[in-house]
Amino acid sequence: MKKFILAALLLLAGCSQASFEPVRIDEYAAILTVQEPGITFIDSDGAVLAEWAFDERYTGGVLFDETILLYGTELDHAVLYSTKTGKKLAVWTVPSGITGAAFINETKEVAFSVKKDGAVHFFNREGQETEKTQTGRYPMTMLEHKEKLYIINYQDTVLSEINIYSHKVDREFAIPTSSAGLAVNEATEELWVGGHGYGAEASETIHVYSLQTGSLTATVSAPIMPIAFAEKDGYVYTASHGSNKLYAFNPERKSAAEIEAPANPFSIAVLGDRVISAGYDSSMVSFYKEKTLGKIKTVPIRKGPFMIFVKEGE
Amino acid sequence: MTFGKKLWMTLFIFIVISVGAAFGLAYLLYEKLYVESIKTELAEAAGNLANDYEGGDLDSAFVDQVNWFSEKSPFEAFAVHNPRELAACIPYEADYETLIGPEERAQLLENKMIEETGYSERFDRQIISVIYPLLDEKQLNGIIYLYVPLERIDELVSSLVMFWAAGAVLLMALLLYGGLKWTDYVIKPLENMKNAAVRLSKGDYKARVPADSEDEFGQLARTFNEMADAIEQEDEQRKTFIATVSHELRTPLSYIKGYSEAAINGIGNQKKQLSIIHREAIRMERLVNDLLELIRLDSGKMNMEKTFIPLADLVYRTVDIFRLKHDHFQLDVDEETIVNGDEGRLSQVMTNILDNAVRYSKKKTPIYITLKREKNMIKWIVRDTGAGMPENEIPKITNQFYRINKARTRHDGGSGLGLSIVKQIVERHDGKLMIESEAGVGTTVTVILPALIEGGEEK
Repeated sequence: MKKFILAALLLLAGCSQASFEPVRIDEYAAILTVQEPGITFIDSDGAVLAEWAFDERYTGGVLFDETILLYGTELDHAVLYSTKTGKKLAVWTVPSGITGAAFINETKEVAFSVKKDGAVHFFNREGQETEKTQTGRYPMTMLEHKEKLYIINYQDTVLSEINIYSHKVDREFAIPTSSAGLAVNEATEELWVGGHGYGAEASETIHVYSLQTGSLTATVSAPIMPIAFAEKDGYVYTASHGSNKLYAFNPERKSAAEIEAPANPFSIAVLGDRVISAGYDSSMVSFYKEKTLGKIKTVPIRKGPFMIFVKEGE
Repeated sequence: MTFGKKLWMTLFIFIVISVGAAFGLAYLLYEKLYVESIKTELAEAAGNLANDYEGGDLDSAFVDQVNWFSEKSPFEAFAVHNPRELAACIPYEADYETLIGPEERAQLLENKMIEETGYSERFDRQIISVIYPLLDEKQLNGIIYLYVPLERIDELVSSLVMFWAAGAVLLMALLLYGGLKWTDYVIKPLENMKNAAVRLSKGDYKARVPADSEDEFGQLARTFNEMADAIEQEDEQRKTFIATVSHELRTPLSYIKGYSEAAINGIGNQKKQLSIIHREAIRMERLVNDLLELIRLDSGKMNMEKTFIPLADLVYRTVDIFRLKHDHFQLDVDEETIVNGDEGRLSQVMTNILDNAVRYSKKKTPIYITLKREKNMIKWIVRDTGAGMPENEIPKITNQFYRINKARTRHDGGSGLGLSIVKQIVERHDGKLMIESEAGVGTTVTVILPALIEGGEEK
């Protein structure tokens, strides 16, 4: 009888304390999968550090301070996990219809873009909403750079720039509709904006804007449908999911390298001196050398990799 | 509701069900056979086209080839390589209707062909379609989309729908008209029979129905006619009987009336007149008694008091009675014959038969009387060599008041009921009366009765 009670207690404890395998190293990439909901943590050599499987479908997340905050477009809550311990830390009540998130280091705030009300909602680290700023129709991709938060309004023709302290829209950039994917080339102070294209027309170009003037300074050809970016040392890396291509552009915006990506890549990231990209259709993650995009290896992953978050080592 | 209407309603329901079932069956066959065969053809064509894809990006040559096929074949075909159309952006929300959905894309990525039947918003019509993946490793580089507009069967006939409806109405009308006529034809014998029965019940005994067919109605009609014949004959006999009885009674009455008037007026020999009156009164009495007897026998009201009777005694006694009138009898009698019967009635049978034999035989001619047992039957045969009768008269002589020689009636002194009574009594004893005769040769009357075997049982 005692044994039975003990087993029952253990079982109950197991149920209530959803705890995942912890990630013990400092530099890794976390790949969010949506067809088989979960996160796979890998190191720069492609070794799987931990694999978390979820009961609910998260469509995005943001990694900060050894925690990962996960949200779903259909969910009305976001969940905060510790990567160090694998434990669930908190559940935040958030508006439903979240399409993007960004962590603002300076103010220690989390910004959620919400498609339903066309606004960006700011939350403090306790999960309390502090501010809300209207941007445009369907705010989605967000990026924080030098005290500014840049937001692509997916079904609109403007990109909003918000001051992180005042939470006010400072500037608006004219962009094509169905834009997706943002990067800042720090070396040239440029904002790179990708996109799917409008209607049945697939986009083939990246629009480059000057952060100083806010005007379009160049277009860069990256067929077809460049929608994910990563940047390091003035090099911008792009995943074009329509043609299953990865591109590397040098600081002069010239194509430095081009290679076949895993099927239907929605994400690209730089981890140490590696470029990694995951194919949504093939459920494969490939590793490439930076700048030359020389393929190093490909590893299989859970179904439907959609986003890659990178934790840089100290 | 009349039987005819019921029959017609049944027919109507059957016709409606049949027409409906025919349409349903046609639709089912169309669905099952036509659609399935189109699907198979589409799948084969798509497979053949896809065989020419060698991997990598879809080049314009391949697209042109598919377009060429579309022009030359009955199917609509096109190759798609635009990733926007192939739902490559899902889970990003698309701002337009893609050619395929995420589930279809997932299926195509597993190199599975997709077959669909139904409404397509893009083509704004019902189609049968086949989507064939063009895969290079795990990359969905394109699809071949083949479809054929699925004309539903009602669409197919939409141009002909008026003709179809008119045809259906005409067919229904024709079938119903035919059904009506046929119903009339079927129930006609019943109608006839009903009408004839009504006429019969009102006293028209000549009513008959046509009985030409060999089916059940024909058989029923024949039976009906036989019944009507019997009723008519019965009616005829009744009328004849009454007429005969009246006539038979009137004759002695006219004698009695005439001679009594003569006696009253003192004309002629009174004694002779009284004797005639007396004779005629006896005749009337006998006639009335016979009639009463016959009516009682006919209606089954006469009780038979059956006992075991040695027939030989009965024969001897009866013959003795007739010896005064006729003295030439030849007897061959088995003394052991015993029957179970009513002695008085059986005596009457013998009396009546001998009476006839004596009446129609000449004085010196012999009358042969035989009594014998044959197996389980007792045969009592009376044969005379008297006047006899033509063969065709034999069946009628047991009829009431039937006489062969009508003129001889009163002179012979019989009532004309004797053999009728004999026949009735014999039949009430489970026996049989047989008469053989030849004109001028003589008559043989045979009475057959069941013999009483040892132990007292009739056999």
